[in-house]
Amino acid sequence: MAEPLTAGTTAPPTGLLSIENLTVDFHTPRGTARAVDGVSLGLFPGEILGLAGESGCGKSTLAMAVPRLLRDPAVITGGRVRLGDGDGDGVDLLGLSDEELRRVRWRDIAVVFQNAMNALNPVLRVEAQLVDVIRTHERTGRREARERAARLCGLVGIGADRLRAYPHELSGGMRQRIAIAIALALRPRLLIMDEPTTALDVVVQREIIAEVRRLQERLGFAVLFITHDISLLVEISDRIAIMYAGEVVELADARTILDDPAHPYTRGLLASFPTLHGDDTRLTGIPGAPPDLVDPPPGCRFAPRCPSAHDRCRAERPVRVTVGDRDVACHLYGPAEVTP
Amino acid sequence: MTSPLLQVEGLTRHFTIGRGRRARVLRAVHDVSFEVGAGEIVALVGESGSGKSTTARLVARLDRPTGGTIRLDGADGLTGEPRRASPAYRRAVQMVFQDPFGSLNPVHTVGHHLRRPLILHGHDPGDVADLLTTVGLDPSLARRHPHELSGGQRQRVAIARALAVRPRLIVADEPVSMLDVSVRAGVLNLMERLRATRGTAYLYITHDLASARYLGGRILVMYAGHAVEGADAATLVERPAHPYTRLLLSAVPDPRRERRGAAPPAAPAGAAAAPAPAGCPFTARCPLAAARCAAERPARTDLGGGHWARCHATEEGRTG
Repeated sequence: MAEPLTAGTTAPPTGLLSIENLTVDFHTPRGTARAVDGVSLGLFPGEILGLAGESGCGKSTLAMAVPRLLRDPAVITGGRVRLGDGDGDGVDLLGLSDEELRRVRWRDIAVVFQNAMNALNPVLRVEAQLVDVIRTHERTGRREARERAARLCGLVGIGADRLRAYPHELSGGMRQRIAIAIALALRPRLLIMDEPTTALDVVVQREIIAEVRRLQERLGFAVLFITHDISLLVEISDRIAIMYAGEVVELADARTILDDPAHPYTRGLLASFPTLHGDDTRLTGIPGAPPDLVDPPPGCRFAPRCPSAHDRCRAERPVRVTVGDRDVACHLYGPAEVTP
Repeated sequence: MTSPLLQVEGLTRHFTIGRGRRARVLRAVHDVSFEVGAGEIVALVGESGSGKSTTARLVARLDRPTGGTIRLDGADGLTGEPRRASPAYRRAVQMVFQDPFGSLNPVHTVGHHLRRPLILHGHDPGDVADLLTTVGLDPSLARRHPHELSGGQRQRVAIARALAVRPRLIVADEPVSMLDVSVRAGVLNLMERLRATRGTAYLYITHDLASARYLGGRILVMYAGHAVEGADAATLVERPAHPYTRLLLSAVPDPRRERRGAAPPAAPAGAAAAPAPAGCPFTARCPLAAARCAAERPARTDLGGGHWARCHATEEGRTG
């Protein structure tokens, strides 16, 4: 571990997108669950940022809060989401009117969901759906829109003969490619991909991942890639943010996360899945279960499951600090206890 | 020579899709043969549609094969028990399903789920606490309902329920794929511990080659209803012979692989084109395909040490 320690930095990097102190609450009959708890995270133009964590950690909630696609009972209760506009402070998406937001969605930020079948309209041909997106957002003639639709299909490796197909006539992998084509139709600067390959077989998954990387290098958009599969994330991402119980507990380069994980939760995750050619070490997993977010434990939320937890962890919440080339929220690395 | 615990030969399950003149036959499982020895783990690995789950259901006798034999301790179970499996077969072979949310009845307690098989098969219903301890759960959980448990706990209950009748073989169909990453290892380790301490054998159905490698034992790779390659886990992963196995291995996310330069798999993908009924099912996607592959189904080529593949190229020594 690197020694140098700078003061607590929650300031996000300047760039394409900066999420600042974002809080999302779920109002449930049992009380309020804070699904995203004061998360700060930035994206640079053209980078792939991976967001990893287990189910219920808030990764999808965080990602869907960016284009404000959350529905009841999820409510954004604090923070800012700034989309850079090349100069100055950018625009706070949380302050936009519905009409202003409509112009940002898809033109600047597009989303690819886990299940393409749900994202596509089952009674419209592929071509009609592509044309629809283009003509809704841009003044384009029908004929030009059709030509662009054909080019988009070619971009994601689908032959123009499939334009006349209905979604159910396509394989799962082809449907996901169409969903990506639709997402890229307006050349967005940010693509949010929420478990885009989880429903696909590994061979198809590999092709989609290769396709995303190829398109990203060619078109230069940034990707927020969400998955629970950390080995997949290490392969595709430039940087990785690890989420646990509504917080980003570690943020670093993909290599650093893999080779030198700092947070005990990150270490636990990496010790949870078998690798193909790995040594025959016994996997440990992580004992216990994530906390109930309606009634989270005091102190560090990972403390009840943490092998390194000490008294301070159970009493005081760690703040995220920069240690060497990473950000981590853990008392093992944080500033010493403040004595009053 | 003693017979293996489970001996499957020429197992076939065809489904008829549609009716009348438009009816066609879907060959979900075609001529699959394998053995599972006492206390052995055999993993069936393949993508969706490969027939691995259908094979599991046939072995658990939840479905009847179109052809082939299933022998338990050398005794033919299918002709002797045509309608449903005998109590003896059901005692010996138990199944654990993928979805621990769907396989437990929400209105009954954990204890109820475990007492039922104990009583039905003539065991002491007081063994519930023992069962829970065996799978690493606190005996107090017997009073809880499934919705009060986490996914990992539920899957442990499902395993405890299978263990209640002291089976010799557990058919586990993707038992960890719906669980959170951090609890998967615990369930896999539990399976291995039960194998080591109680001699439980497993037919482990999975799409995840890495977990099959982790559990060890033998791996059987399935493609489009056919078993295309079999070997012990380490051999299969380190020295795959069949082009499909190689494709599958190259697609598994591997954090240690060089990143940006990673070459996508050579073979074209997409839905497996309907194979010529006569030939190798992988012909349409195979980088080594020759004229013979489409016409003639490859026989098993023995590669030594129990390693075999059904591939003309392997048989002819062409490795690409």
